[in-house]
Amino acid sequence: MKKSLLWIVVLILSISMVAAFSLYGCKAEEAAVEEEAVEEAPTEEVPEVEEEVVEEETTVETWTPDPDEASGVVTIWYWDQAGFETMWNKFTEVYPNVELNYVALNSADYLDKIQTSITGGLELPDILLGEIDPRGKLLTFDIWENLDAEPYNVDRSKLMDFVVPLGTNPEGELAGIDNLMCPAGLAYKAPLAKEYFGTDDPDELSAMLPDWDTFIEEGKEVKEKSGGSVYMFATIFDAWRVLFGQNPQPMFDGNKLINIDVFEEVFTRVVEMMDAGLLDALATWSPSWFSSFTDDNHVFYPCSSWGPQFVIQPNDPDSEGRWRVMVPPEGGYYYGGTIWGVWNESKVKDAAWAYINWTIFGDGADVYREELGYFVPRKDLYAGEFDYSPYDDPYFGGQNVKELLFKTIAPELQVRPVTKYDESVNDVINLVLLQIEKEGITADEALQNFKAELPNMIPDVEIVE
Amino acid sequence: MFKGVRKWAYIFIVPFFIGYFVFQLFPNLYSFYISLMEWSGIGEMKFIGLKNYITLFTTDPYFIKSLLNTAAIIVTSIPLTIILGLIVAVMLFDEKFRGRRFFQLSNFLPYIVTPVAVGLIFNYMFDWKAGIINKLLINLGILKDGIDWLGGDLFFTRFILVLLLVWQNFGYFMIMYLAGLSSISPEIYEAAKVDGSSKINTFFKITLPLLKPVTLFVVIISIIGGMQLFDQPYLLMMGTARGLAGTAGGPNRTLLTVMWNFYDTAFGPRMNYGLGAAITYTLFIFIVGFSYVGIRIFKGRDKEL
Amino acid sequence: MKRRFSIATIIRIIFLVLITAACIFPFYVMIIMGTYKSEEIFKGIPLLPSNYLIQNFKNVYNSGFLRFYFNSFYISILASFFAVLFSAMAGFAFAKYKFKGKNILFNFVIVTLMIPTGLGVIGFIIEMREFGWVNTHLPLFMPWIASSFGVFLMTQFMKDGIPSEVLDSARIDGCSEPRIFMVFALNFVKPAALTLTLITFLQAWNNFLVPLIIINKQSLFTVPIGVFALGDLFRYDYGAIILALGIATIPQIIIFTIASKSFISGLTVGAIKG
Repeated sequence: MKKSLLWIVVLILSISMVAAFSLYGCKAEEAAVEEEAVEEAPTEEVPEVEEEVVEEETTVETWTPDPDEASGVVTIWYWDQAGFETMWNKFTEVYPNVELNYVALNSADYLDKIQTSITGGLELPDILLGEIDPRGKLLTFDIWENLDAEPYNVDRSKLMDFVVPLGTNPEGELAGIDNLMCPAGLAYKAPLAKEYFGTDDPDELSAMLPDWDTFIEEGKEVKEKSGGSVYMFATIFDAWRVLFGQNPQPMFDGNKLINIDVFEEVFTRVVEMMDAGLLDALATWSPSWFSSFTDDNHVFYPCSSWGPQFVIQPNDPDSEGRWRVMVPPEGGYYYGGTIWGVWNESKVKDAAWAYINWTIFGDGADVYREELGYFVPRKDLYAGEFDYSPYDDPYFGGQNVKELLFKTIAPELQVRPVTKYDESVNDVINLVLLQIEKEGITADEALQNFKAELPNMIPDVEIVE
Repeated sequence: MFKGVRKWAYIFIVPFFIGYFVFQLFPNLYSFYISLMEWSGIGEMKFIGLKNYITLFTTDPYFIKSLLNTAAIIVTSIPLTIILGLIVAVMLFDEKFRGRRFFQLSNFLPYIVTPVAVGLIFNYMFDWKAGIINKLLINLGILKDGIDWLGGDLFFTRFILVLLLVWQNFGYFMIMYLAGLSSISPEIYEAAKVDGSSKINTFFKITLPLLKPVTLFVVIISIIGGMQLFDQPYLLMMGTARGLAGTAGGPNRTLLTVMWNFYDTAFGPRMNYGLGAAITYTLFIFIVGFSYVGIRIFKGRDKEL
Repeated sequence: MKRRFSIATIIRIIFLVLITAACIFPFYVMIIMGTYKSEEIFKGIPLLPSNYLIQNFKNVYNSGFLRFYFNSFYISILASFFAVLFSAMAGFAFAKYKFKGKNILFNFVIVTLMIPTGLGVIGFIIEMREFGWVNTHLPLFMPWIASSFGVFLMTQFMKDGIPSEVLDSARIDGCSEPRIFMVFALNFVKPAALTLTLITFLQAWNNFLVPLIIINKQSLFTVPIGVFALGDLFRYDYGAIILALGIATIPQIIIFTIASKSFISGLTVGAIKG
């Protein structure tokens, strides 16, 4: 291990150089060929195209694959095995020839695994998913079937208007469809509300807390009365979730970050709450956050349409009647959701689509609602007077949470368009929120740090003041 | 030499080198090729020469920081591990000592446990609000409020990582030193005793210099391993909150190591494979460089080692 | 020793007990947590066992963990086998033969030790696709044919561990070289082989990124992937995960306990020879 060591390093490096350059020689041509194929590179602004498509649709029926013909093994990577299998078992009663290859995957690893599989040229799952955060990026990949085109011919007009842009790729094609609507409110612990606000009734409470200024004032009192042990939110991230969701203006126009004032506004609010001592410091989705559902120290939690059955009840299973959901100060927001689409190189497109079609446009929609409490975003289901009365929930003290979310909150909801930068922006937001929480920086510093860090994650970003 | 024997030497090494070529050299060369490209992993590649490497040292916001973080962690954890490993080895180096095997085994245990488990456990133990350490300290009246160990505070958070690394590795060092101690001839100690050298004096003047090869070995191994540090900081930070799209490096990127930066650059939202490959190649050069320097520092003064 | 306990001895024992307690404490916490219901873990201070062990065990079992466990086990065994066999071969050549290019090739091995793992992930995955090895376990153990660390370790060990005279006399008796390797080399290197087995076993067992990308079939999952996929959508089943990880640590502990003596002499060979 003396001088020859150095020589070997030099040798390896120079071999690599030569090899790389010679490789480059042949790869360049390939790249050129590929380039033509990828020429219509994704652009961000295509809402016009969208509308055109909408108009020429309508006459064609959405494709329903023939149960006798659809067959094969459908692969899916997913993170809710129990829920999915409930649906799938019902589905195979209609489509008996379709088999399932279920691969359990943590949702945090989904984008990574898709990305690396594309890069390595590996097979993707036949049914593609897109959670709200990585969705914008996933939609820029050329992996989705165009659901507007033959043979799918999805009738966009049957879907709730707001979900169409959420599943549209940058070319303006419908790539995936949300399987549930996610209007969200605030869940709270009724006994705490009763103790500190004098009422546990959701409507009265909403009336008591019409805006965030009042909310903060009340929060300070709660803090005082409880001797500092009771927080309004368990974490700054929960507060951010609600506040940022209530300002659903688009973040980007191409590579331009517009509406920086939204960030300014929300940073100001969360810093205000932080300073007032309203926010505890349990990281969202961490064990301590989960376990806080059973304690008496945190009042409010963000709660989307999937929250009651997937978050609150599993984490506080023995407390029937302890929880309620209300309209947050200054209104509802949209939180979560997953689009479902078909991989464009799948060998079992008909079977994959058969499942998605069945869950959205077929009888599966009812199974979703009855078994999992998912409300599928199909207009006709809620046309006229939809009867929410079967959904009175004893766990929520008899409150009809579905009615609150879907009837009261949903109609006025705006949804922020997804972009390929969402993940990166979230990363930066997380960073800054932690700085607020841990170091107590001011709202102004938060905004400056946000602006300074963003170009590191998105090199071509342009921040419009 | 025997006839026809040499041929067998080549036959014996060929499988290794074929395996190396197929499973490592080719992928590594491919990465080098990528490092000269602007490539997101998807779509076209664009040849940009050494631009990625230049970027690392000029405009890239995280590379230098991650390098300094890694260096800081190595520089604090290696000496501590050495000291602790050496002390325990010296204490255990006594054939008559009955509990020796038990202590050896239990001190080595952390080295063989799955990093995933280590990350989860430490993450839980040092959790600000729910962690057992804070709860114990508060219950015992030592603290009034819990310390936010993993909150990105430069001191505390690095302290916990260093603690984890020392905890995990000192057993390995201990075993190395035990072997080194047993290879020192007892006569040397006898001679020292005759000369009237005190125990402490003997340790510093005789034992320690004789253990130099061991120290050199563990230092080199630790530098090579430490420069590639990824699992431990990643799992320590992400252990329990994987659902939350965590910031690479944890709060304030306090624990952003070079390899973590590589994974985040290539596989994270930035999807910059070219830059990622450049990071690892540059790291390789640093590892070779540091190892070389490490060897020089230890070997340079007395040539006979 | 005249006094049974000198002050130095007492200090030594206390120090060792404290250090050992610190070493074992996290394991203790791990075992205890495995007996708790996930929601309960974070409420109090879990220092005493709870009553949820059986249920956690059921949850682990029901998630197909036995299968993951088996997969990881046989993959790691094969990986160790390959690493030991091929490293011993190469190490034998480097240690006991003279041949052209030996020094440069051996230094090459040393430099490869310094190449960061993860460097070639993308190239490796593309290659595996070309080989048709996606969705198989082959990419998880075949690469261990080429363990640079193994070759380094074996070479160091064999240099002094195998007396050259023995080899020469065997040759005079007309033994073929492969036979010499099988009979003498492998016999003499047991400690090093054990060390390499344990270290390779650990690394193969802990491999996360490659199986995460390459395995798209639940029945082929390994333990680390299985662990992260455990649990429901929004409830991280902490107790079960910790229990699963605890179980996953058992093989390593068993191997080490059984073999700790030869293991230690194998592990340290590189160090004392410098």
